[in-house]
Amino acid sequence: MSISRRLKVRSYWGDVWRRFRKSRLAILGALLITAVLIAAVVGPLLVRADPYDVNIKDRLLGPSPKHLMGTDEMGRDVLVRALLGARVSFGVSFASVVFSLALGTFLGLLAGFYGRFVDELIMRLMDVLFAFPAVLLAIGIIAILTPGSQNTILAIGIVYTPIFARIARGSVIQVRGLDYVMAARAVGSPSGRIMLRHILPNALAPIIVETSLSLGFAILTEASLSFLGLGTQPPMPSLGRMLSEGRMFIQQAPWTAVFPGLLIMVAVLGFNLVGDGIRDALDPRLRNRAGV
Amino acid sequence: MQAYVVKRLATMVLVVLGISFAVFLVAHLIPGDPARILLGIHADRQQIDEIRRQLGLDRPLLVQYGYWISRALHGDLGRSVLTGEQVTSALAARLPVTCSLALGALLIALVIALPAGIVAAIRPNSWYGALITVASQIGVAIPDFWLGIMLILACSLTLGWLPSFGYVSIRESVGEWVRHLILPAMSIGWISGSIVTRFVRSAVLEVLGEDYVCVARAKGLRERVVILRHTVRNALITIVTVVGLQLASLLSGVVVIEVVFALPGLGRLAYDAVTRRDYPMLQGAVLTVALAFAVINLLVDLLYVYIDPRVKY
Amino acid sequence: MRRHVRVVALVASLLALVGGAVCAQQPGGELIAGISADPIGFDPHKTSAYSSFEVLENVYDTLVGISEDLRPEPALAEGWETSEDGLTWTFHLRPGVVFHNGRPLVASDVAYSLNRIMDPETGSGASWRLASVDEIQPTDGQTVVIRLKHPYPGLLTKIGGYKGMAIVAKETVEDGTITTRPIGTGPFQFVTYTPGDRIVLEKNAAYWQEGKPYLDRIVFRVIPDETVRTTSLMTGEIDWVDSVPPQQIATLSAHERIEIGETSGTAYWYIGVNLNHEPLGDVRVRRAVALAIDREEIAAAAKWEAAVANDSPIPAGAYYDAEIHPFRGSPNLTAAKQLLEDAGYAEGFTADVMVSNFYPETVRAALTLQSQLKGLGVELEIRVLEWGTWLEEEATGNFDFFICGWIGNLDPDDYFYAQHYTGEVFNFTGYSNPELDALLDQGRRATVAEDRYAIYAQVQDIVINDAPYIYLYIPKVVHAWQPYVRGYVTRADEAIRFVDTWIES
Repeated sequence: MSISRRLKVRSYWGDVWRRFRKSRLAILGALLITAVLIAAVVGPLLVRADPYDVNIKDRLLGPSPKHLMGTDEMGRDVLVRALLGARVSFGVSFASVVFSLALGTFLGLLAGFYGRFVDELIMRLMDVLFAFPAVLLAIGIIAILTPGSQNTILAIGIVYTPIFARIARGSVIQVRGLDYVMAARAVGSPSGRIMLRHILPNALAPIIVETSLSLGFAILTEASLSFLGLGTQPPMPSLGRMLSEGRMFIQQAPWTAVFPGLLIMVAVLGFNLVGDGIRDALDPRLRNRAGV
Repeated sequence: MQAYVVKRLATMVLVVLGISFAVFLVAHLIPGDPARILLGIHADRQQIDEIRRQLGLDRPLLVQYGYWISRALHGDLGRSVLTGEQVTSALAARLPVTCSLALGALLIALVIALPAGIVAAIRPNSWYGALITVASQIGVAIPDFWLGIMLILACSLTLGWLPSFGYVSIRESVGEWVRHLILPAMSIGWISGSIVTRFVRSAVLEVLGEDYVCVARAKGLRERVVILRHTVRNALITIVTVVGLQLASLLSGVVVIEVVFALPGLGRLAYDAVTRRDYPMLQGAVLTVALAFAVINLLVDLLYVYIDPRVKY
Repeated sequence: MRRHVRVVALVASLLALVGGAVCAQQPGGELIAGISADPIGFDPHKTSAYSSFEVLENVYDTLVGISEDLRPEPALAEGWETSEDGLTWTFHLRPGVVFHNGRPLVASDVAYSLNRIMDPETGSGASWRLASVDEIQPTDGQTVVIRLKHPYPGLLTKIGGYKGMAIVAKETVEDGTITTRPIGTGPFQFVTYTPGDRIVLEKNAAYWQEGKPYLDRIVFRVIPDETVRTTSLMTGEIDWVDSVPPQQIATLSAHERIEIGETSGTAYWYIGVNLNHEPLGDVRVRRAVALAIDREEIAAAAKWEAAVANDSPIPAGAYYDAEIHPFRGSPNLTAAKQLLEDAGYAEGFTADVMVSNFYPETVRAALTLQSQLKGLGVELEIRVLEWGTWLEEEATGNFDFFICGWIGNLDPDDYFYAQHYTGEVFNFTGYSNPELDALLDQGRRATVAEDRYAIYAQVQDIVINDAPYIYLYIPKVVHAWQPYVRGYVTRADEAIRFVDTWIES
């Protein structure tokens, strides 16, 4: 019998996945995210209530068979708005993280790969963005462009870009000195191909971790921006906006804020646990003493 | 080493200058201006123009920036266009508040993170290890303003233990200073603590894998001694750098909490300045925060370089 | 029997005396007042911020004051006369009034302040109030003569309607401290302002009203978040709060230890229409919208129980109310649709409405409006803007509709002139009607009450029916305080006065 059949070939990513699976917390996180995602995508279709139907007579009613999570201050069904709000919050979070991920990684790759002047220029720019107080930068951008979900995405995206740029650059610097990269250069491979095929896959690890964590943070940032009057604007719901508005009715009608708050907590907790799980799975030094 | 420090200082100055221009630009790009805010709905074209002229807002942007930066380099950050208050004295009055808050938050963060991180590192798959991990993570899963308001409703309204808003200077009363800072510091500290927990955990894990720990165990030392004497002390280096970074980001994250708890700090100053288009105040506040941020980052980097000889600069 | 009655009467009157003494005002004490925003400067002639005026109300006086029932009353002027032709007003100053820095008030101070307001270089938002004034002369230390360009019986409310017309100390303007350390003649003097935190006022022992004020100090605490503000009232950390969120009025009323003061206000909230944007230039379209909406629902959405729906800006029962209610039957979708069809918009149209989170009630009103107008075929897009941006857009005419309010309306002229006269300062709708202009000018000059009533009845008829403003509701003024705060009156013009307030121990 050939050796190749007896030894199961263990690929890098296969290893990572196996370690991830072993962490109970990471699995829990993944389950939480999946649950909220399903609720957000499918939920609004299942609940038969109009999230935009203003009905003042029925305002601030407690949970009932007709409105499982009660109604808000405009008489709208809280459950369907919270589920729709989860969609919006996830949407804003994904879009802004994708933006910062793409832009930041691109800039970080450039800076790390070309080094010297390009590196200095890009990283100083990132420093300026990074040192600018995050909330204020977001406020500034949104105020210039007028409040709304799209501009919130742009603002959060810009604020998170420096982090990805730094991580990407750091990884690139680590990897570019390695033998096979130097070999590829020696052979005359075009820079673009080197970046894409050799450097990027190996720089990916910390970027993936940061992505998962940022997805959670973006939801919280949107919530804080809504508190300050920016972020998602009515009548569109978002979890953050509902929480922010719900605080004004916390004594009369706590249900307007409890369900959205719960959804935020579950979603962000999930992203954090998954992010931690991936980080542990990717770093072979962090084995627990039982060994993996 | 010398050259590195000089180079870093030079870039720091460049970065701060860059920030000063960025905030100037952003502030002036936002529609509306202090003349509008001052006159409110009761404004007519003539008055707006008159007030704009008085405030020097009718000059070209670059000229305004030039004036501001040249005065700033002499230490004069100007006056609030709305209240006439001196920017430097406003900043001086607000800085202690934000610093108190940041330090308090950091303290709470450490109180949460150190034990939680250590336990999570040495007993990751036990039920209480998992419980502590989840509990510390919940802090990061709630929006800061929400945590703040919940704490106020619980501790101020229902229990009546702590004040719900305001700041008391330490010079007036140490007891009241502490009492007024507890809830706001907790609102930030809990969140920050959750983040630091992870770093503590990975730092401890990293050290646990080191050879000298194995040697200590092989020598037969008790577990607690191994952990305390060898692990924690060495993990502390990483922890200190993380704490430094947290402090820096705390300075910029306090806006929401200062608004909720009505604390007269830098974050609130900057936020009010944006909404009121008080350009000199906004520029001064952002500059201060950015400067503090840059200085702390620089110190952390230098510390890193000094301690870990493997780091190439 | 009679002797018993006499004894009982004697004892009863003694008890009444003692009881009265217990309820009498007690001097001393400190009031902690919670306000929602930081003041924007303390120069009464330049700032328009309500938060500034909450403080300035107690620091300054005006030449003529406004009583609780909104009539002119003596303040710094103890009396006045008008000439036969109505062009000359002579004001006699009260003797013995001193500024907080000890300097006695003289007529030239009054002239200086009023002239400063009129001076275009000051850039005062209140200058329009003195548009009818030709010149102001101090004739001697205690007399001020104001000469008008035309007779203007409404001068008194214009000259004293709110603290934007305050009499200031010239020296504070000259040394530039007026914005940071105001010096006035009012019941309290300014002590300190810690930005973001508090404003401290202290009793003016030399105040011209005998025995007042009672309080030793007022500390205004700035608490931006409304939930925290009402919570701190409930925990007892503050004694008085300036604005009760409408949804919390019921909760606070039920609270055994909180007193609520409520009164109908002089403000009105409305939808401003941009007549320069099609199809809103057509009066039929505007009337269609005015007919289609349910004001009761909008008022309830915005303010719960704390507002009265009204299609006229003048409160029901007020003296000048001509009871013009062409939209009383609203919502009347059939009639509204007919109007739209007549105007050529049977399919409806799209428009935007501009509101701001600065006034969350307007956001709620807009949401309700959006839902209501669907039935008319009108697609309403809600633009929620940050306040500074909102002001900019309003001024540049970049909107179809906006929702806002006017407060401090005392004289019928206040309701209509500056907003609807062709090209006037606050005419953001672009409305122009020469017939109305003529009536408004007449109204300013009319001296006989019946004439004024008739004129303003016609004005209401025109403005309400032409609908450059679609009126929504008249809010109530609601304040709340601890039970030991006595003598505070919630005023319809929303002025915050603590001159009669005292703390019961």
